[in-house]
Amino acid sequence: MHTSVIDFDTCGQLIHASQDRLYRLAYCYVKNEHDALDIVGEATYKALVSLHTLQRADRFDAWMTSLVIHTALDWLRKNRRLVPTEHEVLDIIPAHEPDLTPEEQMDLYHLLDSLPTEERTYLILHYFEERSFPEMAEILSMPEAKLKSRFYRILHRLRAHLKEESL
Amino acid sequence: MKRQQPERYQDIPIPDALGDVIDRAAARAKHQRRRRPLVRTGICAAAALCVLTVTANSPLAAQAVHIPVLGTVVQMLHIGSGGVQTDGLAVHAAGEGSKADILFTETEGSADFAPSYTAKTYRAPNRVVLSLGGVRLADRQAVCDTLTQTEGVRDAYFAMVLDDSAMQLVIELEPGYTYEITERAEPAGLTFTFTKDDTQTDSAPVYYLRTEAMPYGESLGIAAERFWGQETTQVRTEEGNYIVTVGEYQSESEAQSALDALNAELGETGLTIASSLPDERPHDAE
Repeated sequence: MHTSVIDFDTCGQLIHASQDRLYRLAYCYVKNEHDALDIVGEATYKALVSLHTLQRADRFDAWMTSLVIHTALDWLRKNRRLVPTEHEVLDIIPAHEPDLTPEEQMDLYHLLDSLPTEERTYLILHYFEERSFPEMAEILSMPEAKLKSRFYRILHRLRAHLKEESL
Repeated sequence: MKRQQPERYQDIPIPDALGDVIDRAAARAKHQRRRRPLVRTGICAAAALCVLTVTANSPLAAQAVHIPVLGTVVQMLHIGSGGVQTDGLAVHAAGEGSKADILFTETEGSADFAPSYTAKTYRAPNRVVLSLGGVRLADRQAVCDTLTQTEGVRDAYFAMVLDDSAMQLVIELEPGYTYEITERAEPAGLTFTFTKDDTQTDSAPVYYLRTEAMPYGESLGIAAERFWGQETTQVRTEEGNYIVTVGEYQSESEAQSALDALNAELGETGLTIASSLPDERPHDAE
């Protein structure tokens, strides 16, 4: 069996240290406390039983973030019929502010639900978690150039969508 | 825009239960890690005993030296489930004679343990449906080609699954053939052994519910999802299209009752009752 670059207890401590961030990340996908907790729990379990697959200790953050994202995406696919409607999402977030410019109206919390689930990840990581492109590329295991291309394509589409709505 | 979003992100309240959820998941993982070596040790001893028995009693033992060692035997089964929770494994296949190995790799090479899986047998046609979770990549054509070249396999194809972390492999058996699965660890693999079973005499027709035939594509996956949890399978027809089937029944009246119950639960499903012999493929039109 492969040896692990960090041990079981250290992994548990690192997950606890970043638990708030992991929870908020999961919450952005499923929009409710119960399911977000389930996702963090499941991602924790996956991390601890597959600890040997982590290649470098300094990749822990990216690896764990990726596990939460994949677990959340799997949850969404398996529970498609149960995903809340747009009107039910994130009532903790202040409502849309009508005086903002079209660019400012690009309220990502609301717009996330108009995107395919996989595409939400790019915006969550960049705008909410304030991840740099190199960090995102590491988390999503893809070349940075490809990531940027997809990211800007999503933004372009969202802007076009907003313009259409404001007409 | 960029400045205000993280602040709002931080407004998402953190539930008090979060720490406990992580602790419980850690306890579950610790239990799983402790259980594995015990299972492997026990199975190792059993496997060694089996090998010795074969060596002592079978003239085929000489051929066995050419068969590569494919990891520790975890369990052998015809119908059942096993594996561990994984994410992102790739699926490959290798085969020779009447054996086919389904192999699993991760970024660094072979995975240690098979992903979570279930194997179920269905008739009309006689087939095994292998469902895999926690897998994302496969050279599907190569896997199917390997399987169809294996003795005892008539056809092999992947069902359309609308979840890119799961796959469903359908292996249609030649008439009169049966199979056994050996789950292996370190490296991870599932070995299918297909054998002719002359004792099989079941020739009674099988009744089931089915959709209209359709080409392979998203519509097929959507149709299957509609009946999720109802013993649903996807079957390739004689003409090369696909149908979704629900259930297996011994009589038309049993199938009719199941159809009535399903229509009552889901609304008009559009399913019809069909019947075929155990080894017979369905046709596009009944």
